[in-house]
Amino acid sequence: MRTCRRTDTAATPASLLPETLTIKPIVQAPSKKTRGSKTKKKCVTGFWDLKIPSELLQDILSRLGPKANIQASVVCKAWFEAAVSVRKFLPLPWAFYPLSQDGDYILFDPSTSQTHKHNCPDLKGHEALSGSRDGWLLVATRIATSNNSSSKRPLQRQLVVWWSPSHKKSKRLSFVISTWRPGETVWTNHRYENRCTGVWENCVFSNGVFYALSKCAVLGIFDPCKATWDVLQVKSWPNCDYCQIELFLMEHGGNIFVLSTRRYTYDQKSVFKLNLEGMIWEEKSEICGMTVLARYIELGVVSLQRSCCLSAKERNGRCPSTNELASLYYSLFGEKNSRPPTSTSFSNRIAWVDPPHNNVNFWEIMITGRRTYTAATPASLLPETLTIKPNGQAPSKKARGNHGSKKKKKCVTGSWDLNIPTELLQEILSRLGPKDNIHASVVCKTWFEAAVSVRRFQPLPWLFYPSEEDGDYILFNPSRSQKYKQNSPELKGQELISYSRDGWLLVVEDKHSKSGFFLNPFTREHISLPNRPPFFSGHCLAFSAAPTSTSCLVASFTQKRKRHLVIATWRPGETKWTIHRYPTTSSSGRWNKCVFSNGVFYALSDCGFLGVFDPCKATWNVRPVKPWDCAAFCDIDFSRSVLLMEHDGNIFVMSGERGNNNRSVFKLNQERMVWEEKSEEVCGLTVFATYAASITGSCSYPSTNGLLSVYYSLVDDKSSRSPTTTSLPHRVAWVDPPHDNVNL
Amino acid sequence: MSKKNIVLKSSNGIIFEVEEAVALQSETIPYMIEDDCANDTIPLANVTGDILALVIEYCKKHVVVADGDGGGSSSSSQEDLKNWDAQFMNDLDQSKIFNLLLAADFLNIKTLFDLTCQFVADTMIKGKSVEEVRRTLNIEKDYTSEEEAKARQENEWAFK
Repeated sequence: MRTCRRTDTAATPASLLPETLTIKPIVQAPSKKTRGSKTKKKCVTGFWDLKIPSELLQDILSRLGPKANIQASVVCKAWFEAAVSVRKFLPLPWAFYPLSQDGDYILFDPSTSQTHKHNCPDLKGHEALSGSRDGWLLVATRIATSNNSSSKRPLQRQLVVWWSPSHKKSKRLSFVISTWRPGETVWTNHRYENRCTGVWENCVFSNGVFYALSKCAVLGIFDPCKATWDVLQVKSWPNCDYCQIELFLMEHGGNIFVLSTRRYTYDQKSVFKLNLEGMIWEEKSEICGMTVLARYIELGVVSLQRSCCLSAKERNGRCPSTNELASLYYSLFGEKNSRPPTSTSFSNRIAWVDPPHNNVNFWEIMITGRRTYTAATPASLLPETLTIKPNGQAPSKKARGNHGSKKKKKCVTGSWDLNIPTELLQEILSRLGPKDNIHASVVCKTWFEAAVSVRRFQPLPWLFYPSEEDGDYILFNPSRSQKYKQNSPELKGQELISYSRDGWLLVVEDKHSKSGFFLNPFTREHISLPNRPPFFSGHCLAFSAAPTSTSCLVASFTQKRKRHLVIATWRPGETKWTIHRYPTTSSSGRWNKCVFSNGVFYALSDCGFLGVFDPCKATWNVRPVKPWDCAAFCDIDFSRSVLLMEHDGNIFVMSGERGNNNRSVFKLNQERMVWEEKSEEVCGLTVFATYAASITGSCSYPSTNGLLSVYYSLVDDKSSRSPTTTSLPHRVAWVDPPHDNVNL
Repeated sequence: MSKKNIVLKSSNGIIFEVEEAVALQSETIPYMIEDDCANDTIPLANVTGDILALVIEYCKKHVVVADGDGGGSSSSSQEDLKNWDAQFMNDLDQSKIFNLLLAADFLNIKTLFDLTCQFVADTMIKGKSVEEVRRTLNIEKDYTSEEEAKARQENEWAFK
């Protein structure tokens, strides 16, 4: 490798050569020292394995790279434990690449080799995925390179304002760095004199500053807090010919790395670590065992820019890289160790993305998606599966014969309480409803701990309602039966509280007014909505998260005459509503309940139909769910006695008949598309209902009542303990309390 | 195309030879293959032969049919698989289920792990009294009477 490169050194200034030669021994010296200390260890036995406190050992081992860590773990049992406990396996990022020109993207999980299809209508083939971090991508559209960017979080399908500390762009002569923070409406420009030659090609964020690498391997630092730009006097590595190499700038564990490969062939890889103290690039073998996930970026039409993506990462789970040196995942280069897709075009449309910490929601979405697919597959496959059946069953019978049947139960004690690993027990108990959870906790002490650890106690929501005397609002804490008076001048008596979530209320001023706002009754914060579109009902409204969160989206459902459903959406920061129109049939009835769950809005019509609005895809689908079993829908006072609720990602409907206090709760089974009566699972939950235009149902437990206890804020239900205001139904709401309500 | 077979050896020395696709439903086995490429048999030190037989039975049933004829599986075969799963679990006693759960966890077979967890939750705990649960799963009560009474009292409503 070295000799090859030496032939190409014509372009590098010869003055650098002697220096680099003197540097080399410095790098090697410390490694000799450590080698010496290792041999010393062996003389005193029991010192480093038995007597050393485990924290110290962990501290030592945490400083090793992945490969060394694994080697250390083989030393002895004590070391094994310590090494494993400090081993940081980051999850492998997923590759995100286009399948076709029409916005279909694929998410590829390299650790399980699974692909997931995503339809992203906003990615139409003109975009460049310029940056990736913390599971977010920065997308630049081609028309206006970096000024018109939007971000995409493919894993959650939430198109919202991005979180990225700032973005950076370079020009040749006067060097401009543009920055932007979420919430700002314009970019801030910083101009600096460009003293170095070569285009700034790579940039990476690490430890609060941005590092940029030029074509000639000059390194610059931009500090966004101080707004300073410095070109670092870092000596380049030996024998580097900038015309012949490609550079990738990376960050890992707070250190800056450069990977250099030969242009076009992408062989002769070397990785250098920036030593900020010595201001040199050091060839570091400690990166050994890590994986570099790189990709190519071509920004705009004219200029070719390349950017390395993500950082160097250890490979997932039990598999440190099999390659000696850093193994490379190039998404585009036909590298022998590259397993990801082989599309050869779309180079700037490929990105590696960090997976979210728990991708449970994602899995749920994928599973339901797949299931609806299977429903549509032709029945011609049936005979096949039937022929398969006997083959599969035959061995099962044999096995049964071998292993004995249920009746053979032997008295083996201790498996389910003492021998079972805690995580497995928790996994099982987390699948129980609240009542069963409490039952399980009484079985034995081990079970008690596991059951309590997976028991989710939500704080009781508070009631927000106007007092009868002066119309001022009162916040009522049902768990302590305490009342707090809130003077709310913006609530004038005509308002309608449409939705409640995450401690925020959505208030529509009155039927005729054109505006509405978010209100936090605890902090009295107030966020206005833009003027309402003309066909805005104010009745069927929901929002996805607190308006202070970037994932907040408000959706309003309005039936326009009988033929059209109009869904208006708005995100904080936007100046007007986005209108979506969908045809509906008159037989589906009026859509008048809605709730947000798992990234989509569910709407229920007064004929019992269920529709799903996906704000990311902007799709509206009426699901083929049979209405729940009830005498007749016309016998139900729909707006008053049917509640649409969400709990733990599941959709529930509570329904009662006119003049009858019996209420039944049904859970939506998304797989079979039916409403199931679930007495066991719901048992112990509490429904908090108001008879406002859009009913807020939120559940919490444990309730003190045996079966489902209902808090009706306005009906004199026997189970309602809350105040007995009998009028002003639109002005009452349940609110989730803030996590710390010390101020009150 | 020749089908590659993988040889698995249980902790008590019983040898199973299975098709690669069957074994690869475990996310652990590929790593073991990588690690011991010199060896033909993969030793599974924490899985006994009878449990491994069950695991293999499950994996054989769930192996994705190669997409020769259009691929995928129809909704009714999904339904069949579910019924098969239910029957499969129903025929096992609690100690088998316990060991199967450990094996599914160790071998990292997500669907089997989910199936076992859900089965235990649904059929052995849900809707059962405390005494029933203790009996079915052979759990010794380690609460004193007072402690148990206190635990029950804390959430009295659940025991009505």
